[in-house]
Amino acid sequence: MKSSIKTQLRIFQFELLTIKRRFVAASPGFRALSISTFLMLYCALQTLAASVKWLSGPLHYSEFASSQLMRVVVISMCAYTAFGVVRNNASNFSKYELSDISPSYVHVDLARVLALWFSGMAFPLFLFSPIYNATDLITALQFYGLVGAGVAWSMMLWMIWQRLCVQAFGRLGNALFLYTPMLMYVATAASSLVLVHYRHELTSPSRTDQLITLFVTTLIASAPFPLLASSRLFRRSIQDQPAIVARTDKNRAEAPRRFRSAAFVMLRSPWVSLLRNTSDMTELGKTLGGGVAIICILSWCARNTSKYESLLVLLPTVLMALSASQISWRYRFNTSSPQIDDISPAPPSTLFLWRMVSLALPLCVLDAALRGLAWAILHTSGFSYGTGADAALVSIIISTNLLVPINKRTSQKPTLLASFELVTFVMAATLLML
Amino acid sequence: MRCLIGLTTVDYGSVRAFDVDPREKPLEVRRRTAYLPDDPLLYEHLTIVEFLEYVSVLWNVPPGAARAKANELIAWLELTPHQSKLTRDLSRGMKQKLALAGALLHTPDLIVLDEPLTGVDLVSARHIKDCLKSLQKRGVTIVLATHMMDLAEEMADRIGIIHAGKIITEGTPQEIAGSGVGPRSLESAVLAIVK
Repeated sequence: MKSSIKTQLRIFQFELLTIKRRFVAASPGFRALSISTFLMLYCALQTLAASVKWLSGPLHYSEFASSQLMRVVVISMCAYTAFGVVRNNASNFSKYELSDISPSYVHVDLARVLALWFSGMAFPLFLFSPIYNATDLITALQFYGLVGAGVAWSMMLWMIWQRLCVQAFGRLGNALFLYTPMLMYVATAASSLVLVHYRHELTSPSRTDQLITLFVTTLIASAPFPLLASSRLFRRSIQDQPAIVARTDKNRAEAPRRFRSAAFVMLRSPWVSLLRNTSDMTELGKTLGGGVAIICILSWCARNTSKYESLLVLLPTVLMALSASQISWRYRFNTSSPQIDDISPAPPSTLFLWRMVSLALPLCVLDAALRGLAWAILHTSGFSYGTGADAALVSIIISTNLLVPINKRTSQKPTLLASFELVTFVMAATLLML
Repeated sequence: MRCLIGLTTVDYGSVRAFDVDPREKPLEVRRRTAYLPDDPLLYEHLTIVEFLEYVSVLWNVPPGAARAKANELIAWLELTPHQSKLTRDLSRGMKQKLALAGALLHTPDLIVLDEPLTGVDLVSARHIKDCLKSLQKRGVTIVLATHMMDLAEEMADRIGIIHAGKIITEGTPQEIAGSGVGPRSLESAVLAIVK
């Protein structure tokens, strides 16, 4: 027993070490991507959970969001997904992507910049929307947030389809990976619509001033991401997925011709690939079907009973966490070749468990630290502590404190981006302290 | 080979190792087996020492014994000057040697190798071959898949020629080389058999 625990701890240590080194070795774009993925999923899940809770009775969002169990599950899932991006792709950023040689190069870039910009703004807005009263300003902001989300959603959909087409030439892994956040986008958009529809029933006191502050700071905080997205490095990083880099020179040479028939391929290829691959189909089915089913059940239960609501609220999160982790796990490395632990006698479940834990733990610690900081800043500046506020702070602190040192570590000269991030951080901090 | 190690299920026929069906008791087979594919299974963000330590954890080798064995293997495979390097920074030959070290850490009774010398430089190839011969003398069973007939001729006690997914002939290198008319090399004999 003692030796078994020691073994587990060693595996855990090696996993942490690997993640750390992969993260350090990854391009700045990938690190930003993983962080923004984390933030988006985090905000989306919190909002989804709050919406379900709200539907089931009077709004006690802060109380609900402070549920530590919920938080741990949410963060585990987000962390695993976000770090899965880095873990999967850390070493692949020097390869080519179909759009590099396609005539749609500029459009792809533009779409990604816009999608990141809107998603960066829209999610914090969704997060705040349940907390505040329905004043005209808030209604306007909510409307803006919904429009933003709509645009972001369209862009994401377009990007996903584009990725699906690319994947259809190779394997389907990354497209499947994208389905999990996609599901959350849908759920978040839907829950926000419901919230806006019933906004007159919200009972919390108005905190317009705080909302404006948070909105502005979130807006500023999300600014680095589109800037990053516009850089070639980031764009390439987003696109460098194992399945794509597995393409051969022959595929690459054929790419322009294939791209010209994209309209046909867009309609046909993803589903052909899916149908040919039973396991991918199963993954997709589990993710989408399971997610929709659980949300439907939740909605029904929330209206009819309050007894099991806390448990039920956890279900979609758990489901999504499982789906995301399964998909991340499958594509953790190039799945065409086995890993050393695939052939070891160590039980796969043990390795899987430790990977989950080792991925989630650093983010849990970071979350706790940032929440503490958020509480301290808000407390000293006279605001009451709220979930939306610390989410905004998380965005600000992560985007500034992590991205600026990354630029320094890669021994680049202080760039415009780094300077901008620094200014952003100062402005955000100032606004919060006012 | 993949069926033997439990990575692929058997479509038809059966596979047995140590009188055990790998499908029924995969962990039992894996405990006594080492597998080296042509592309070495390494964790690229670990150093040589860390990698071997990790492998020892995966195969439940006690830490003290693992450390001693790892040091011995590192020295034996002449990896000592590189032991603090990340595995991704190693040359192809060194990667192959490290994979071999990892495979030997738990003292397997059976080693399954798939094209172990592909892309490996001359010096490393010689070294790996010597190591394999040494293991052979210690009684370790080695199953080696290769297209290099000189390697098969030098290393193998018995050879099975697989063509179109089926074993078409089997025997010692001498038997196979001498199966035609007149003295021939193994390569020309195999070519004649396949044609």
